[in-house]
Amino acid sequence: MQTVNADASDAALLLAYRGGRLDAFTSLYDRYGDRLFFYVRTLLGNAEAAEDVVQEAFVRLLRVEPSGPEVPLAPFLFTAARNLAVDAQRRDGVRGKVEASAPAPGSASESDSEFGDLLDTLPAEQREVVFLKIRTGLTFAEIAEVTGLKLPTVASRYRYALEKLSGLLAGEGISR
Amino acid sequence: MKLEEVESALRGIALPRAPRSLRERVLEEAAKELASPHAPTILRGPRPRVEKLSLVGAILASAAVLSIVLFPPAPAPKTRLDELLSRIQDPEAVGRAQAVRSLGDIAGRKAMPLASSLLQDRDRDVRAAAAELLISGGAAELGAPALLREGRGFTVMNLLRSADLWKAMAGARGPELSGRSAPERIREIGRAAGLDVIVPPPSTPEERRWASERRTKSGPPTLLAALEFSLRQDDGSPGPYEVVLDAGAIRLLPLAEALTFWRTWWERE
Repeated sequence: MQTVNADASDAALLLAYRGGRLDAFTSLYDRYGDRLFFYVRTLLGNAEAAEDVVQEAFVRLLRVEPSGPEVPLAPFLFTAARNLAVDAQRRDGVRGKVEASAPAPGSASESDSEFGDLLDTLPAEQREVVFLKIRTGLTFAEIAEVTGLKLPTVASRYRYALEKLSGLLAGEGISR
Repeated sequence: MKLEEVESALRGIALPRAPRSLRERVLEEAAKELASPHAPTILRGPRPRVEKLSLVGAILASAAVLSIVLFPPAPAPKTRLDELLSRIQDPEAVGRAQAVRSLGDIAGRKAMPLASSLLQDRDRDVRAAAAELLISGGAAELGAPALLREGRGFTVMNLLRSADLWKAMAGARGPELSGRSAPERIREIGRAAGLDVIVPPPSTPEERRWASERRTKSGPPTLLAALEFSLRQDDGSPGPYEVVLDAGAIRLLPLAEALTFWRTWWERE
């Protein structure tokens, strides 16, 4: 049996899945699953709730009407995940603040990585923008769409965050 | 530090992995969705397409309908796939399990959604057969955890762990096995494959029964099928040992030990 090309475009993988290829969806999950989980966990500060949200975001992707307009997958998934995280936070009072303002030091992302540690030094509203820009490849316009912010706000938050991280990384003598 | 360098540094930091359970849950949903009635798979056939007819088209269509009414065509022959799909509804678990085992040969990957839904079957053998089908069809993320939950029948896990050896044994002709006891059969298979054979001495009644029975039938045609055949009891029920294919050996493990072995291996994978 022919195997799915894991380097295929998102649209090609989704099409192959709709043609009955479960392994094509496996490739899509592998492409986005870790990043979505990290993103939602950072928003909610709760791994268990994040798992439920990410699962539901993928289910929404599964149920997108195949005959509808072609939707770019990354913005779709991250928007769905964010909306679901907001709902979960409102419904269940999950720890963390999706409508980001106050940082939750030491708990916001249940950090278990160097990346999480660095993000935790930022205010929540900057943290989200930095993650989406650096780790998902979304454009500023797409990030504005996902977060519901205005484009200049996204760009300025990103810039402030990077300036802060620059000072932090230089102070620690980190170079890559 | 320049902002580009900060971006580059951030990109270079590895993200933690999402829990494996999340991956399994999402893929299970994806398989269910494929198996749902509106999903386009060969198991249900394509959706009918409705188009407007022109006047001439309408007349021709009416004539075609009339001709079918007057001269009905012979019913289409039932395909092997149709037959298997009807056997999936078999009230007897043995029939359902056999149908699942044959389904992969006929429908290939297209059978995966159906196999996934059969993981919920009320019978253990049917669930295990569905899990095996998922593993051999490339959906190990769903099949392996399901098989480990069933607690036996792990032979197909060797496809994931020792794929080259598995394929070689599946393509090599099996030896003559009639009149031999189970350990003798396994040793004969090892000789034919050029592998050492490690069989623990039988210590339970079930193990002794397996080790002492001699089969009069000759074995199946390939080394792999002969191995699977030899692991079973004479009545076809699962035997007391599971097999691990190592680089140079066929190793038999008692069931409990095998369960621990495969669970540990799968968690590491």
